[in-house]
Amino acid sequence: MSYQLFLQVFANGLFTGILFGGIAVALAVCNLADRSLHVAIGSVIALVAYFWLAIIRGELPVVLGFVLLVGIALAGNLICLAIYRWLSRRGVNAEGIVVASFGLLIAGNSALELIYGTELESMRAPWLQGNVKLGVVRFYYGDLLMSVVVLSMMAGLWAALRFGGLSLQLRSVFHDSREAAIAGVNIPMIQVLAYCFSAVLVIIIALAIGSRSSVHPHMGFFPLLIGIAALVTGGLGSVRSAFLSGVAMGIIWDFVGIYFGTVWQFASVFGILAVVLLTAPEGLFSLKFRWRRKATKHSV
Amino acid sequence: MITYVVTVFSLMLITALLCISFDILAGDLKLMSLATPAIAGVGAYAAAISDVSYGLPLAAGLLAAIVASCIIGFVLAAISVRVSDVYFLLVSMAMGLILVTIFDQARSITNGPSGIAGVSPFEVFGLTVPQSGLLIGISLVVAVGLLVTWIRRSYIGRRWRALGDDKLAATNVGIDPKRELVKCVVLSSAVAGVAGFLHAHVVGIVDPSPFGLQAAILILALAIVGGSGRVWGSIAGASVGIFIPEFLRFVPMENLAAHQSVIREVIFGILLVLFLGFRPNGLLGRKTITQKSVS
Repeated sequence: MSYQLFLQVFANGLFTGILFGGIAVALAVCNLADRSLHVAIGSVIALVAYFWLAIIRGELPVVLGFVLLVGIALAGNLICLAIYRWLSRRGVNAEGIVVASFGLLIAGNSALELIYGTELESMRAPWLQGNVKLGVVRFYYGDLLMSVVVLSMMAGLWAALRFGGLSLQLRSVFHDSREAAIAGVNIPMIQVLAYCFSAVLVIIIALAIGSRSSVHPHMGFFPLLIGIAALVTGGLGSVRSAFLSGVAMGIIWDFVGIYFGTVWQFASVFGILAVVLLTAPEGLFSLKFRWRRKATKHSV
Repeated sequence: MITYVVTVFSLMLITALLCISFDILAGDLKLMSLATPAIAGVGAYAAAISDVSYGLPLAAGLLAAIVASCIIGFVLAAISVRVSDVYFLLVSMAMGLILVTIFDQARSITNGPSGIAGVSPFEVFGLTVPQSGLLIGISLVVAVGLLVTWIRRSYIGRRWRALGDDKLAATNVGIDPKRELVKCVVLSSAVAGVAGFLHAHVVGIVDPSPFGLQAAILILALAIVGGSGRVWGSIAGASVGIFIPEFLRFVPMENLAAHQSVIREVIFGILLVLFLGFRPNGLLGRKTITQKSVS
């Protein structure tokens, strides 16, 4: 492999990784708030992508289109949250809620298939497909836009968690929601905030996936699986580790695609997930690991 | 018409076996596996290869399917002994995706996406081909159903149920969770292998498409709707899952027949959520020990 190709693949992998990291963060934030695995986000991604498509093709006025886009993303995520909360009140455990989320995913994707058909729609726009060359590496506008938005949102989230009271509240809800409620944490508000943040991420993720491949009802399914793999590999309970492992997965994904062929990309990512679960079921950078390391350090 | 009805019933029996395989884990150990169709795929490929490449008799094909599936089941159990709940679901999902990639890529063995065609159909007692398939399908479902029910009522099944209901308490009375997990996954895989064997001979072609993640989610939905912990629940789930879309063929509405599989997925996605909320035991599921004591 030539040096130029290596750099180009690495740059592409980095952008793919930021996309996967974005999905993993969208899942991680929801997981922190209610311990669920919000798999149905795959359907919300596809639905939002169809609205992006309508805006790009000029079928919707830009302002109205954006209002609808944001509304649909928020509504999609909040309806899912309402269903999870209802199931939780009826005594369904976390695993049951994951199963319900899978149900919402297949129902949502199939409903989109009934509405829009199975044809692949191309999301072509000059401000997405154009590129700029820096040295030997070519960067696409769509990738740059997605990276800037995702990284800005990550920085915003980090600031909110670091300097606001949100971090403590989220962590307390994640570790023991009952005790958090007793301590006065407004759990429904925390959950709504988390799902809204996730919805905003979904908007940019839908645009990135649509511009990289095509828009179709099942477009959110496979990136979602990588996002889940990244979330679990990083370790549930940490947004930062979910993002980092998403970036690593993206780089591995693109290199495996070049070296071994695209068909082995999924197997490689899920092989890594299986190995991580086998050796460190808590995930590579999980809270438990950090605590254990800290505890060891203190005891020494 | 009779051929159509017999074929639909045969497909229902294959789905019922898959639901039983899923439910062995979900009903007793409360572990959800998304690798069930992929493991059935291993059985289907083993049966197809033994028939097409080596011309072995049906019994040998059935044995090959069960042994191959059990080996894969053992590997799944070995890598998942340290995980539980949602993590088991994810490990099984990873295993299923890797297996389907192997079906797709190991062209020298599986013939890639084209699959292995020309698997000989069942022909017994001078019956026609689809009727023989139905007869063997019923026999296999009855045999598997009786075996699973017997195991569930034996001390092995009681250990599994104890682990599923309260793992800590079960471990404290001396039940080894790792050993029981391996036994349960291997039994579940053996049943999936039988489903694969039936699929290979009824459909006549084995390719990777029916063993993917979508199929796994659908089986999960059918098993939950049917009810967990009982063989009858799995059969009920498979019946509803196969007969509802076939019924839609005869509803005089434009484009309905063309979209029957999509409509089935919408219906089952919604049913899955509703059943989890209103009737977690499914149509014919077994109540847990806690539910029994409360009632």
